Amino acid sequence: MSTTEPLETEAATDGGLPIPSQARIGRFWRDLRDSVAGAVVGEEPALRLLAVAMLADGHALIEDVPGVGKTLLARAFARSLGLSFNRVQGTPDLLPSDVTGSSILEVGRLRFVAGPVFANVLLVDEINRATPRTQSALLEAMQERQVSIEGETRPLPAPFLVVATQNPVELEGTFSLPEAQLDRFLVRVTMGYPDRDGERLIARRYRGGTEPLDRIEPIVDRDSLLALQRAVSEIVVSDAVEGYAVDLVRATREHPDLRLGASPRTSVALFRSSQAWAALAGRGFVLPDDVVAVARPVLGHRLLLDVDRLLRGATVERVLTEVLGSVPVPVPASER
Amino acid sequence: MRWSWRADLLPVALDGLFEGSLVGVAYLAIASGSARPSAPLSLVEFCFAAAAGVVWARLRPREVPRVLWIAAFTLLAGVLGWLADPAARAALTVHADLPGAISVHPAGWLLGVSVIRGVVHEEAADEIETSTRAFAYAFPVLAASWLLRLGSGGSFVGPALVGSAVCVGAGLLAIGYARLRELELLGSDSRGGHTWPMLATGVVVVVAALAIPTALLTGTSARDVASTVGGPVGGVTGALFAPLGNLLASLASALGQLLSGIHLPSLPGLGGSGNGSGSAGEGGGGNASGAPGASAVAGSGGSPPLVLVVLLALVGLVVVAAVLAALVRRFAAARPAKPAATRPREERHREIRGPRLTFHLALPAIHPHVASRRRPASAAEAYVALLDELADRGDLARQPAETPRSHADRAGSSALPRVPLGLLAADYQLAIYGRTEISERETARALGRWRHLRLVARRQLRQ
Amino acid sequence: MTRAGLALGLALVAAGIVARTPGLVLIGLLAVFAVSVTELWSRYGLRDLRYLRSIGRNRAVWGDEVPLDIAVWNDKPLPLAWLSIDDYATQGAVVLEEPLARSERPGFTILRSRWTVGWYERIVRHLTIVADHRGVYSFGPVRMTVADLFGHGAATQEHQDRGSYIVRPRSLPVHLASQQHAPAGYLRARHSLFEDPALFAGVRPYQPGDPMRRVHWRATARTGATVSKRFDPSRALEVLVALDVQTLPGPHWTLQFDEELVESLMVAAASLARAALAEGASCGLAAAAFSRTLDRFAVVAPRAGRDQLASITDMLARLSETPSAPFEHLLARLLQTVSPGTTVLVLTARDPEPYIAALARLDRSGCHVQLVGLGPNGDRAVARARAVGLAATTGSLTPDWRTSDALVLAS
Repeated sequence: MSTTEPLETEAATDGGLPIPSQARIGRFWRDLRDSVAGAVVGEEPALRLLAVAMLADGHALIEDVPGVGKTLLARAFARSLGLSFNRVQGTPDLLPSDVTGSSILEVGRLRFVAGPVFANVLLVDEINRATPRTQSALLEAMQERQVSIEGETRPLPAPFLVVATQNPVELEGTFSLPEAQLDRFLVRVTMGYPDRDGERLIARRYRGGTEPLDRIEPIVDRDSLLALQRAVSEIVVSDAVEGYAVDLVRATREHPDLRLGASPRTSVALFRSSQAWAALAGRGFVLPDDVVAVARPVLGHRLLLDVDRLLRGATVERVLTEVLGSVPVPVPASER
Repeated sequence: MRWSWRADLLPVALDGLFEGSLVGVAYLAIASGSARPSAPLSLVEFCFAAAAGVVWARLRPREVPRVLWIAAFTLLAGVLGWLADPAARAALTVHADLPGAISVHPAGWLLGVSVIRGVVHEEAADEIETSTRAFAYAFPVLAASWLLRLGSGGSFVGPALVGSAVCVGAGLLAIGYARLRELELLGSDSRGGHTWPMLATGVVVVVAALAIPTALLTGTSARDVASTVGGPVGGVTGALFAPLGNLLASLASALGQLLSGIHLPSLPGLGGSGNGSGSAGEGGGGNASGAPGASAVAGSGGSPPLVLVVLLALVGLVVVAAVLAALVRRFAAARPAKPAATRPREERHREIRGPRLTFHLALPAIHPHVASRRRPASAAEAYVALLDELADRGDLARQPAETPRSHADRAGSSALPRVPLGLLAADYQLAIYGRTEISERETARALGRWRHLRLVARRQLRQ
Repeated sequence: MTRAGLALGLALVAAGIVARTPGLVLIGLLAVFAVSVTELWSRYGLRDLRYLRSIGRNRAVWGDEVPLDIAVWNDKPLPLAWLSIDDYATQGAVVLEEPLARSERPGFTILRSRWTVGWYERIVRHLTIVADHRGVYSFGPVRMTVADLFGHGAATQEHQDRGSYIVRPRSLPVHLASQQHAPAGYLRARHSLFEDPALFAGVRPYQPGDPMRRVHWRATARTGATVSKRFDPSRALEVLVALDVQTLPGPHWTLQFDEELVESLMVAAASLARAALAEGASCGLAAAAFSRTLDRFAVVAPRAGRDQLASITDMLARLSETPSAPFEHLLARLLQTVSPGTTVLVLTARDPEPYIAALARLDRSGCHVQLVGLGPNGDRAVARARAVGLAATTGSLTPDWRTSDALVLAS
């Protein structure tokens, strides 16, 4: 799809607004995937998680080595959704007002100049290079969906998605995001290197001097996107799946390799992410498989390893593998 | 103290049989050249001497120099061997002719060599290398002994044949036993102690399977063998076992009557035992009317019947195997074992892949046996019932942390039909996770899939 | 050899028949049988035979026990009466259940496993590696030998299957013996060139070139003159642990060392790094020791984060017990590379007289040098450092680095 269209809807409504069908959500995903593929080669899993973050009304943290296309992916994603997009480069001298905005004196009056945070999609590159104070200002905006500047509260646009990137190979002069603030991100995305064929395709695309982003056209409009978000929140989560998700989160608190397991807020994040994942698959209900699929991106950055276990080779990946392998999936004979 | 009765008796016996019979065959090759009906010493003495050499070396007190300790016993054995010949004793005592006495029975000194061969096995830790090395030149020594006595008569052929067979068999058993002990010390459980009896039986069967027909085909007399091999010990043993021999002779006689004798022609001109020629053919009828007695075992003026020999051989094999098995069980606990806390934990599994031979025919599925449990009434119940059915199939059972979809993918790619299983799982997911009402038609289909999958699973189980 | 044995056996059989000597026939048949058995195992024994080694984890701390599973799978109908697998291990590796045998290869020992394996049988043996010495250890290559139970017909194959694990030194809590010491008194913040937006320090007149976002608009509106915001420089703790590996006096090329002191230094270095990182500092390591690389000095650049402790302890695991260069050479290099304001914790177990001048120069360059003396010479080291105006404390691991539960720093 290259043009935005009104969504097909079922008869159901939510406060008078039409709710898109699961089929429509599935089609949205396919269109998004095809659109972004024009600029980004082979990053479908990462794109899917960004879509999950958008539909679940969360934020995404992309953590990977330099040069794998983090910024390009975020830009292509924003352009495909037809949303306003701003980018902020994390540097040690970045002030909070550089992100949120400030008032300037103009013709004897103070005029508020909105910061880059006033966009539907905000890309914060190398968030770990910004000072903790600036990080806090941004993360507060992410949580509250509004900013308070000079006593005045200004709401942020909807939908609002922050895509932050950071380099896991931390160099001197970085400020690691505290664990409590990592919790603000719904999912953590890794991209990895493309395979050989993919890398050749990337080189071929840039050979002609054209910008791949220029080929991307929006596939959906803002109102449709909001409707999709509402539809996702209606995805059915059965008692069995709900219990399974909670059990997974609770299991992380009891794992001996962890100093800090996932918080109850993580259960909510897991629910919402599972709903979005199921919706992208064109389904109206969540399967345990959906919970398993989003468990690593949702839980991975929320777990704090015990230092002594870390020194003995424990990793978050291994902990998650053990948790997913030990928590039983409920298979009741009936829904009751 | 390097000697332990319980741990060392069997390997010492094997070493004694191996080294003793090796030297004994060489002795027979030398001694049989003399103008005498039979050699003064038998294989048994050499085996005992070799075994005694092992024990003597291991019992050496630390304060006594090794050379002196061994030399003294070796000299004693050599003297005893030399003086086993009455002619040598007479030459020495009556005529006081030492050089003459030595020249009468010089081969008797080989008894001392047998002791030295036993001493070589002093260190149990080096048993593998020692036995392997000794076994390597056993064949040339045996071959040389036989070549030395080409065309010899029954006084050499019979006992040397037995000695060669015992030498090779005992040598293989000694090496095998030592290796098994090493494996156990290194932590392998040697397949629960079954390897040794299997090995021993295998070696004995193979050696016997080669030696007995060779002996029979060459017309070797069992009596000659027994009397020469046993010598004085054999005579005493024969007297002790005379009643058993009489019983065996009676049985052989009865069997011979029943079977009217079984003849196995010997190769013409092969073997030097005059008594052996044609003896097998006459044995069956010869004993049929003869009175049973001790002489029947040794043969009254002729070789015992073939059937008796074969029967005795089989009985002997069984006795040997039983004794070995009993020794294994008795001495298993005596083997030096590592403390339980430091033994590596070992698991063994057998997984036969590829085509499996089976003669089992699948039972007709006309009236399949249905377990007495509540029949499922819905698609969800049918799926859960199927999981219950698969619960005892390790490879097909759903793991607790496995989702229905991933279980269907896994089980459907191995033994169960993928499509019906996937559809049944999908029905379940729709009903339970999706809270969706399944239509009656679909429920019926789901129940049909359940029945089909259940049958397939049971068929797999039976295979 | 097999063909020769077979020929010999057949020749004996033929000779026995011709010479009418049953013994030769028997010996020949037995020889042929033995050769046949040997040939069977030597030709087919190694087929479809797999060996797998699994080390429970590739990182351990001194004193840990690491599971080691070795498995062999005979995927064929021919049983293996005697199978020997030699898994070469670097010297110093310790397996609880099996003493490692000496190897013909220098620097290696052998984990020797012997089995009888039935047909289609898979055996898994569970062993335990004892991490009783700091270092980097590896297993592999693997040599498999099959033979019949009588030791004949050995067929051998070697695989380059390798696995490794690292034993890191212990890291203990750091306690300060004196109440007068501030909890982080041995760490001093480094002043950054960058201003910290959290540290608003007032306003100053606008200067051409100031970015518009620095302008304090409300103050400008109030005062009528354009003013810019002013911030204090951000302060970041940066610590570098400089480890003097040499434990005995004399030239640096000496191969003698005091093992107890060396291990105490490693534990102390890991403990100090852990404490610094826990307080949010960036921490690094530098040592004039061999680290299994071509570099003359072993350096871990200062970084913050939990993974940094793993990097530092990995480096400590690799360090040699003897120095690769004089310690003063390392200090001279640090003079050029370390940022001013960095706290340099010098760990030593000997009299620092050979390099005290270099320490003083480093301190004068803007770094904050603090010496920590361990062992019997700790007091002397502290006294000498203080004599030239350097901060110094003694460190102790009581009763020893193996059983101590804290590194105690005392003035």
